[in-house]
Amino acid sequence: MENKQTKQIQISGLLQKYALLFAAILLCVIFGAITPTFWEMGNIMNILSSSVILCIGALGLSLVMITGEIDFACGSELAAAACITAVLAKAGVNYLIAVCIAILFCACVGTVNGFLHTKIGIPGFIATMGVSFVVDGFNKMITGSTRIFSSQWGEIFVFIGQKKVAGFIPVSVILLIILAGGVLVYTEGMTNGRKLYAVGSNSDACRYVGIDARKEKMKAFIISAVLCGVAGVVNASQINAATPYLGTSTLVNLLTMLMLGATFYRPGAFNVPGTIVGALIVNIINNGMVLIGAKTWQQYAVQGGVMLLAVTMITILNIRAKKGKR
Amino acid sequence: MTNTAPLLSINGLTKRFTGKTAVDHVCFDIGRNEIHALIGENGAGKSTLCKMLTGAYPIDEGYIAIEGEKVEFKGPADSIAKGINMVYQERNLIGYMTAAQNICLGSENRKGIALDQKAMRERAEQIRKQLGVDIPLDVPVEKMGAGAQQLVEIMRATSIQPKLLILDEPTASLGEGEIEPFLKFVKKLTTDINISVIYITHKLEEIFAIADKVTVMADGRKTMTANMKDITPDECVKAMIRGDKIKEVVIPPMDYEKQEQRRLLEVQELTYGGQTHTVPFHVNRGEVVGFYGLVGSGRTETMEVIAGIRPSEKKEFVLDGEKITGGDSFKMIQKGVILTPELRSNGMFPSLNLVENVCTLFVNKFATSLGMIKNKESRAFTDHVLQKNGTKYTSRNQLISELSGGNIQKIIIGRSVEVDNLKLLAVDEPTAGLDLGAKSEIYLKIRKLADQLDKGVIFISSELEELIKVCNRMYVFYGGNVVKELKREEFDRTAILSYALGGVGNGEQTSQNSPQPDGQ
Repeated sequence: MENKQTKQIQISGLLQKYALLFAAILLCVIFGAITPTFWEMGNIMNILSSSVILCIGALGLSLVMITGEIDFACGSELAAAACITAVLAKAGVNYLIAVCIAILFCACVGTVNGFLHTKIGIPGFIATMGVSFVVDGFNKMITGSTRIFSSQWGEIFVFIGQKKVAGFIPVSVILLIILAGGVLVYTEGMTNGRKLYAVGSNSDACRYVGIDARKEKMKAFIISAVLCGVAGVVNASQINAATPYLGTSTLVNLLTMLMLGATFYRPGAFNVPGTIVGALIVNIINNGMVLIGAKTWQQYAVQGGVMLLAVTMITILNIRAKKGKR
Repeated sequence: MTNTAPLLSINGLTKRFTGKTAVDHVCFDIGRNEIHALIGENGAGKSTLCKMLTGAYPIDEGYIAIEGEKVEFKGPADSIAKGINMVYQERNLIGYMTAAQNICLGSENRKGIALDQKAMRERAEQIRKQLGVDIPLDVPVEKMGAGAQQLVEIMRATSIQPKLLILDEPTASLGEGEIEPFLKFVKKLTTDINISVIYITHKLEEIFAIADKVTVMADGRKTMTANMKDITPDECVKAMIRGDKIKEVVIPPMDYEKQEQRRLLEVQELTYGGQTHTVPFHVNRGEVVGFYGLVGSGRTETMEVIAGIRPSEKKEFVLDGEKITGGDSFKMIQKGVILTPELRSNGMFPSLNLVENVCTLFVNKFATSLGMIKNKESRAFTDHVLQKNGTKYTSRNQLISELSGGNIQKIIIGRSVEVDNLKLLAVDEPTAGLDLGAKSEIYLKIRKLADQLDKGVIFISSELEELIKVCNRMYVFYGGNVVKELKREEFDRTAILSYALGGVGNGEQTSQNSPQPDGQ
């Protein structure tokens, strides 16, 4: 009888762990039933390619959020990479070199974030918020607060964002899949990831097992900034231009994905597999809402509702976990 | 007093949780002006019983009678109205508020809509006089010591004039020097303000010092109620543990001269927190060395510096013939020195499962050179550690926070012992909050490491009794320095306590102003 009970607990645990995935599938079925176009290859690719920017950013932010910090500057980093690439390309610098400089700049921003938090000891939220204002200012300075566009920089500028392989798979989607795979291996399969989750679970305990929490946080801040930079390059490429205002709503969107993700796989904690599923759900909802002809305010309301629902679930999970501890 | 019924009578109280009876038909009476000790191992049902007395839990069966009159509590407010109040083990004080403000918290005097600070101050003063305690009322409580804070809690509890006060392990956070005055204070409470006390504790010597009666619980049932003068501590222990769960610690005789040839660690001086501390101590192979001292005496800090956990300005010591001047905890673990944390919560990753909790200490061992984790080996190793240490768990994929304190401690120590090339294990308060059975298992484990595996062990504790029971030698800390070294043959409770209080070992105490190194 005891066996039966543990089995029941296991099954309900599994349901809880993977509920988000079931929700995603359910949503697809519902939208597919309302509008058959939802399941067309073109639309699926559309969902994926329109979500590439936020998904790449979300992967990066996950790493920071796993350690229990937040990178408030992710939107600024995204815009910075886009602006630097565009400004340099317009000035005649080779595109690839421009991209490298942009990414390097983001890595530096990430290093500063990490330095302010881990070495000086400013709370991550405040440190990155300060940095985000500085970077925003920098973006406006180099762009003159306007949209940067040039007909001179040629096809290569839109290659990542607009080109398709084999006629229907966008290059950006391939990039996303590679990056997602890479981050997934990093956090779930490698020692780096285990340390990262350990830091997030209890950074004080890390010292006692020989893990340098500050080093892990530093790495997370840098990788996060770099991935946001990559997202910015893709963003510039998609719209064939760049403005310093690109990243203004990035953080809120990323947080929705991450919060949803925290209900999945490791319930109650941010994690990369969850982020990927969370990002999928947000984009399926957005796309589905457009397809069924929802108004803008309805989309906002639904997105807000989804985020609140996710946070509620995390809170309940955490309360239950604490009760279990007693 | 015309009413001859006992103050509180507990009649067949029963509380069931899903699948488990936490309190099973418990009956006993508490007389007037009586200190009634309630003892039992963790999970014996003491807390659950008290939560029914305070109305926090509804009663499944049985009833409570106060002065012969049957009462029913719908919530804590009802219980307080009937004169039962409880002081919990955790502090419920607001740090930046003064003692007077904390005492009146929740029942503030008002002048119009504003708080009447003067009236509250007067009320607190009145309570202070009534209880005859000497603590400052206008100092923020966070600046007070643990003992004074405990008194503030009790003053608040008595401010509603209760008939019965429940104290839940009130001395758990007090240093050795603070306990005795506190016990006197509790004794005085019963006579001065005419109340009865239920005194929950793990420490037998305390109840023999002050209690009139004792009730022992085990597995949710009452196993004994007796007058203190009719029983011995051994009888209490026997009533607490049913069956023979406590194993005797045996310490093999030691040839100190021979031992000194097998030096493992030698320390003279450490500089941390802006101060140089004189800490001459050494550890040899195959012995358990105790670190004793009051809270803030530097016993923990010293070991944290050695283990590379606490930052230090200057450190220099010899480990196994090698001179060491720096290195973080990662490096020290590689060299075979590991410390388990004072707070159990600092040794575990609550949101991670058992495999991850065991293997975080060995991330690089169970991974390829590229950093890919070898899952199969990690799992096998985890099973090995869990089984070797007799850990109770349902699945290695469950979260560690679902386990009991004793089992978590088994994992923390169990994984530390597995460190490659382990030379020196330091355990800091390993038995805090554990019941007697679990404690004795830890003692045996520590002894086994020294006696059979020939490792050096440093046992840091604020419980003198357990150090006397387990250690070969002991160092006493005071004010950040080592003030005395004692061999097993020289162990003497009064002398050790006196050293720990800054005295010179003849029972005389100097003023107690040990600097408190700021705990990070």
